[in-house]
Amino acid sequence: MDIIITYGLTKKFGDLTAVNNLSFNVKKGEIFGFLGPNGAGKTTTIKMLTTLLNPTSGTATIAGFDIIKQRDEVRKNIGVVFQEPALDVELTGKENLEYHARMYGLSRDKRKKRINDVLELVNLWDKRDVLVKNYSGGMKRRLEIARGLMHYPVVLFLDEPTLGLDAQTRRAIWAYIKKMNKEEGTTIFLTTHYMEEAEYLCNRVGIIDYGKLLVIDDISNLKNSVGKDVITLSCTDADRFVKILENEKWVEKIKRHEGLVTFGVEKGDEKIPEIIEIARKQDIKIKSISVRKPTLDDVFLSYTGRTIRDEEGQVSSKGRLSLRFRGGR
Amino acid sequence: MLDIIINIAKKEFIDNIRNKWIIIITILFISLTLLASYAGSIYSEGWQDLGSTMSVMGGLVNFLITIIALILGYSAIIGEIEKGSMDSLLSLPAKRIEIILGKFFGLGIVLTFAILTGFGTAGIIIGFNVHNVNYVEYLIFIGATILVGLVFLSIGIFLSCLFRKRSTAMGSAILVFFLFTILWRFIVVALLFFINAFDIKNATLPDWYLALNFFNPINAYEILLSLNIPSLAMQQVEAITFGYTSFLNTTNVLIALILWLLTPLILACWVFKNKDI
Ligand SMILES: Nc1ncnc2c1ncn2[C@@H]1O[C@H](COP(=O)(O)OP(=O)(O)OP(=O)(O)O)[C@@H](O)[C@H]1O
Ligand SMILES: [Mg+2]
Repeated sequence: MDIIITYGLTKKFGDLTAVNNLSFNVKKGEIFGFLGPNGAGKTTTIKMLTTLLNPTSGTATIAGFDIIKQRDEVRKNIGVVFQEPALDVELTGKENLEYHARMYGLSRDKRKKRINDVLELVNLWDKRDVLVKNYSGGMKRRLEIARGLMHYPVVLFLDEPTLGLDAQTRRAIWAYIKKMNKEEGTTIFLTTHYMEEAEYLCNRVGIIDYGKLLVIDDISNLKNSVGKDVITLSCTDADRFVKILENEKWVEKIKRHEGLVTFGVEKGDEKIPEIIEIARKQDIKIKSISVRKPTLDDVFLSYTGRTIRDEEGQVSSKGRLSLRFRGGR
Repeated sequence: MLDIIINIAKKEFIDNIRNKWIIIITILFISLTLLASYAGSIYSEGWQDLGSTMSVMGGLVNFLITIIALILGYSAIIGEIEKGSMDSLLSLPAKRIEIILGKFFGLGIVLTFAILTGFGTAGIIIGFNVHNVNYVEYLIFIGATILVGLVFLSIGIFLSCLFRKRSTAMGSAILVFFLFTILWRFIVVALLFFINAFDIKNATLPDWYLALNFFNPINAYEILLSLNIPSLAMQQVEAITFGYTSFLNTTNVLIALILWLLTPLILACWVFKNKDI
């Protein structure tokens, strides 16, 4: 059964088409990942699906309710954790949950029980009476997830749930997400630009870039579509070598990226000697070569023509810059 | 519906207790009233009765209530948007109209509470110190002040929905404040001379000029007070000189103020409903 169905969902901000004609389905009970670099339109999509933004055209249904005509019904069936933290920092963790629970009209007994349950789930029971302004980043994120779960939503939207968290906290949050998907049967729609995150959590992913959905499929199918094995090599005269390899029938989805040539093949180990032989004949020198099983990074590269790390690289180099700046003072 | 409005209102009230706003306003009102009573008159020493206190405060309260109500109102919606918490509020089952009403009632209670306890406490203290206290008049004064406060709260919330940035909302609130408290009298006088309707021989003002009072909530408030509190009416020079035409009566002025309260609130709901956050 499809719990989310979108029909040509589009959002324009002036001249910019942030989300361009999206049509896809999400099945009940799955963890669906929306992958895309910065500015791809992930948050805008979530905001439309959660009735915060009106689509410019197109529509969608969630649990059978239309996001334009039945906004209130839609909101009763969803929980949302936004990319930007949105907790009341002047309230304690428990008070934040209380407030939300009341908005969903949970009775006093249910409220109490449910608050305990979700606090246990994300391991914040000890900190329930601490003001949220004294929480760490990871604790805040966990509390937001707990809050999103308060009312047993049919679908939980998580916009970049682990952005900016350290590896350990990130793993912990992954575990909570898996747990609630399994224990409560919540369908999860998450966006991320961490490949490992999608790889670890999701059954199916969609790749979005410049507002357009490039592909949507099971992760294993996507990987297979890149090739059984992925070969990465660096060599002299890479442009020419790419042209030559393109003519070989067994070479799939060849891409050049930052001086590296990447492509898919079957039985990669056995193909290496052949590749080296071709290079030698053409007077091209191979400096390094490797074979591995494809990852989502390869899938992403093959569909968008760049790695998602390019984007992250920009972000982290900015971070370093500011650090150096501060350090220099 | 009601549950959600109450829940939002309650939250708004608690927020204003925690950020001490409510205490600050209350203390301001108490000290202002006591000061007006004790030191307000240069002709006599010591405590003045409530009537004179009210007349000393009259002009000041207009300014103060207007500005406080606008400050409470203008950031209600835009502040939450800029803080980033509006997204999560909007993702809850609450309808947008319920959010506006919840905010209005919550902040309205903050204002009402501050006025009641502020002026009330001061009134009781004054009552202990003077003989002739007319509490009925004083209660009318408090009631009218609450009403005009709610009017400006409602205007503030409307401005809060109208703009995309807190700073523009604040700017517009300041403009509204100056318009109704200061600029208004110049505008209407200019209008009077421009249209040249002032009949000097009879020294009567045209009806439309008097009717303009309905379009400024502060004027409406002042007329409401002078119509119902005799000791204040004595001080109202304008009232004595020109007299009030029959349509400037308590009922009509009350209706005007209630319309002033409802219209911005309805507009706020409508604007907010169609707004992209
Ligand atoms: N309210 C808005 N007004 C104008 N442009 C907007 C608005 N919101 C988003 N955009 C633009 O729409 C595009 C998509 O933004 P969106 O936030 O959906 O990206 P994203 O995929 O969530 O990116 P990130 O990974 O950085 O969170 C961007 O170019 C952004 O600048
Ligand atoms: Mg985003």
